[in-house]
Amino acid sequence: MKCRKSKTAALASILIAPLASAQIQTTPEVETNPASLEPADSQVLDSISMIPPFFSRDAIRFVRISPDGKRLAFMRGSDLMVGSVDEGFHAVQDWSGKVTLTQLEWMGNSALIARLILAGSWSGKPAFVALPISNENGQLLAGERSVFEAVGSILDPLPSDPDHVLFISNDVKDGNQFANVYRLNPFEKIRTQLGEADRLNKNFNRASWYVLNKSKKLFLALDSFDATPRLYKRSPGGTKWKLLWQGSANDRFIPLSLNADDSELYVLTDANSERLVAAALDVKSGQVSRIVHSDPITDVYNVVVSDRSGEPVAAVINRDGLIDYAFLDAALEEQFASIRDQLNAATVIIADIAKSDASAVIFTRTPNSTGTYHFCILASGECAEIGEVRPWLNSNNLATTETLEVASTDGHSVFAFLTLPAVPDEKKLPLIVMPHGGPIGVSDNRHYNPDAQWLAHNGYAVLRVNYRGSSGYGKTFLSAGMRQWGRGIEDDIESATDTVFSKYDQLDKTRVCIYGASYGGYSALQSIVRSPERYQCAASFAGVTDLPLLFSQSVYRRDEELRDELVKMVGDPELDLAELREYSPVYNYRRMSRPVFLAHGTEDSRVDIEHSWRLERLLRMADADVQMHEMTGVGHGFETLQQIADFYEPLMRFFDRHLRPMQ
Amino acid sequence: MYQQKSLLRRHTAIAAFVCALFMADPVSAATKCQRIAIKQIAKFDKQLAKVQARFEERRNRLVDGYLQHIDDTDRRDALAADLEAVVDGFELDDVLSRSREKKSVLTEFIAADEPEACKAGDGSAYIFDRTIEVLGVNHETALEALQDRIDIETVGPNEGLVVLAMYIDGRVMRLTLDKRGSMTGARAFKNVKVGQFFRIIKLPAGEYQWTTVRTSEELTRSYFADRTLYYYDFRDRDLSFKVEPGKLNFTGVLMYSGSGYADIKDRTSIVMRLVENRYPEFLERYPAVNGLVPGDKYLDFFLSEKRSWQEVQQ
Repeated sequence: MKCRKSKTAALASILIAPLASAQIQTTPEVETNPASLEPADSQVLDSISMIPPFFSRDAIRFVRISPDGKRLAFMRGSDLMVGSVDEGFHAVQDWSGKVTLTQLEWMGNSALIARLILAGSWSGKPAFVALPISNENGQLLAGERSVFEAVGSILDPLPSDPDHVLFISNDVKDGNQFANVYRLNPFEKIRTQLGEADRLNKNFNRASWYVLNKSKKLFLALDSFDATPRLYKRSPGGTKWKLLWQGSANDRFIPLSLNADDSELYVLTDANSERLVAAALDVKSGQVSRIVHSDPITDVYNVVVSDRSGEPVAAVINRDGLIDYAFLDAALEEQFASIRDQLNAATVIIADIAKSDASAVIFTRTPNSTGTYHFCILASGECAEIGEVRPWLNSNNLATTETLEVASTDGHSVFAFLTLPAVPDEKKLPLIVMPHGGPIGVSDNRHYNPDAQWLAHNGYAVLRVNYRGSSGYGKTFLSAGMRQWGRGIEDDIESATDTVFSKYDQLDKTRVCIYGASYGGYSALQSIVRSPERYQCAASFAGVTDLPLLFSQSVYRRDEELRDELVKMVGDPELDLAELREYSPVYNYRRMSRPVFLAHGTEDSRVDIEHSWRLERLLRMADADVQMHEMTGVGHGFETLQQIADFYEPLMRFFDRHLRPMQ
Repeated sequence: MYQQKSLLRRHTAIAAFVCALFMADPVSAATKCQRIAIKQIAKFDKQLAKVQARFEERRNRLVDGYLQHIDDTDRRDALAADLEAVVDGFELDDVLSRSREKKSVLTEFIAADEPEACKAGDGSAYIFDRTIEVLGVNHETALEALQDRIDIETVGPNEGLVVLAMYIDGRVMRLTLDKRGSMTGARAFKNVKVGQFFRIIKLPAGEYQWTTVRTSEELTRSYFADRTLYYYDFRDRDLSFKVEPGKLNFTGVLMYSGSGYADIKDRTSIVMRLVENRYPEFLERYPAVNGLVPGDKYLDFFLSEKRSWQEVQQ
């Protein structure tokens, strides 16, 4: 399958602290410190011991199918597994300890190349490791050879040239991203530096991404200087690059792959549309020749292109908060329907597809399970299970999540997700409203979310809202969130809250807290300033409390482009200072009449801990109910299960105290 | 601490080798070891007393010289206690007590007449030398802090008080603060200790910038490192702040990592706590401003709210 991860909105979404949704690299074990818990809180202790099953990383990850479709490679725990349904899966490499795999690709059918992040690495750069796979008396084995350390990724593993890979670096110069492409033989020698002799883009230095033609030569190049996408074309065999297409500032343009005769480029773009569409661009004229697929509500996220035919066979879309497909190939649609029926799953995702299109790795989920990987023969629809991603969780006890479409106060449609406990222990459920970070260019979905599941496991209903500014719903919706801190965004959150109370009798309107991280933390705090009657408490992790203080960070003082982005999102601290103060929790602390929980990492480089210190100090002066949890060594998110446990242990007490005081 | 251990290991290895040579004749080896150790201790005691006495004399001269000009007895007593607190803040006793521990272990071995005495004595000479050296450096820093404390009692018409706070993660031999538009460095801080640094100093009004750090690989990185001096220049990071005359200028917190990375964070609230604890009278005497982010209104807001709550309590 040819596809590329979207790099859109990377700059805009600067205030995201994943709650614990980030993949944590620890096995599902955690040490709690019983001495730190009071005897009366044995229930909390039991509860905290359940953190690892919810928050540890998936048991199975990076499932990759070999080009001939016969073998699979994937991570199971810390083991790299290789094999097939017939020959079984063998652990060929143990990457336990402080090693994190971030990319895995087949090089031909008998070697793999992996990008590893080594904690404590002197250079701090990813290490690329090539692994030839051999079969000795039925036992699969992997050799290991460190190739090089560099910031970047494998652009193409060149499956038809098993001795080489194309590597694309990710460099920054004068605030602009640019890339170099190298053709390397990872089995030839260990490199300390990437050599100029191996660089393919010798006479072109401004592109941030390259597209290969069928001969695996650099053919198209994309740059995004000044946030304006420009596509360049190199004539076959030539050395000069000519501008082929240029968008407008802030247009999104994501090149995917060329068709079989290199005449059309498949792209995702919103250059001439409200939302991201899949389009074909004529590489002779530089014009969009056709729209491959568009969706009336959400962005198109990706396109599945057949390696065999070079044609797009499916567009990846968002339907009710879940990944779904709009099929462009009738045969694949039929095969897919057959697999969906056979596996009886609500969600079926193509995780990887063989170059021959004969077999694929399929990921399935039911509404209350975390998901399972399968290996499927597409023609026959036969599938064999590879494994569950969270086998340690009892699927029957997982909460289900429902999608709601809410009409906002100014006529937008807003999507929200309500997670309800699988086994409610009360007739009326307390609700936790959980706004996401960002606020621009980030969104929630209906897939497994550890924080929502964890809270539901503890008896809370959880409401997450894709308020205005969230990604995936088009340009107008995205820009509608600009400068709406404490205003339109919170209007949307309140509209969604009103809707769930009108639709779900089992929710207790008198027991509601609001909690989030980064922007979500800000939203929680500002929400009890503007609507204290709605909430019993507010909790913030790494939350912004003082909008002008955001601009004090040296990164914004030095980098004008980043500062401009922040101004667009928040407001100008020089021109709009009064407005920024008006919507800052710090300057409104006297209006915060609800209990407040603040948690903040001492190493947070995005939202400095000073934000929480300022608010805490003022609230304490006012003798308000405030609890501050300073987390030494923690950044803008969590890196270990222990950090998550350390965070949730006092937070669950806080919620219990204010939402379930009688228990 | 790690570096000290590393160096200790190196000396341990050398000492073990020397001891192995002595072990050919155990009785004679023990005697020789005792003699060496006794000599080391005597030399250490003598040097220590000399360094301590010199420090006491300089400190007393500085403090007494200043206090005798203050007529108000209460004010003089309060100030004397404050000045002493500056010296205590450098934990000079800690350096001494650690060296005394080492010394007492060595003394016990000598008394026990053990042939292993050589092993106990390994690296002691180095530890003692380092103790004297570190104590000397800390004395200089303490005296400098004392002088700063005395200096800020009076502020000239074009001078402002500057609240300096730093988190230092790595050895700093010299940290330079330059005044913009001036050819000479405004101020250099020598041998800044790892951890938290907090001080109020007096500077002429103007714009200032943290510019360079000089450090040594020998005591910061690895066992095999040499004594190469490293020099980091962070002028391009614009770590600057303004000093307004007649005001108490908050300048953020300078964060320095041992690898040469430096940044300034606006952590006014935590610095305010330090000022409130250590120098409450300066908050009464001078208007406070944020020299790092001149447009920031938090300080004014906080102080006004604080006064308001104090009035409510009264």
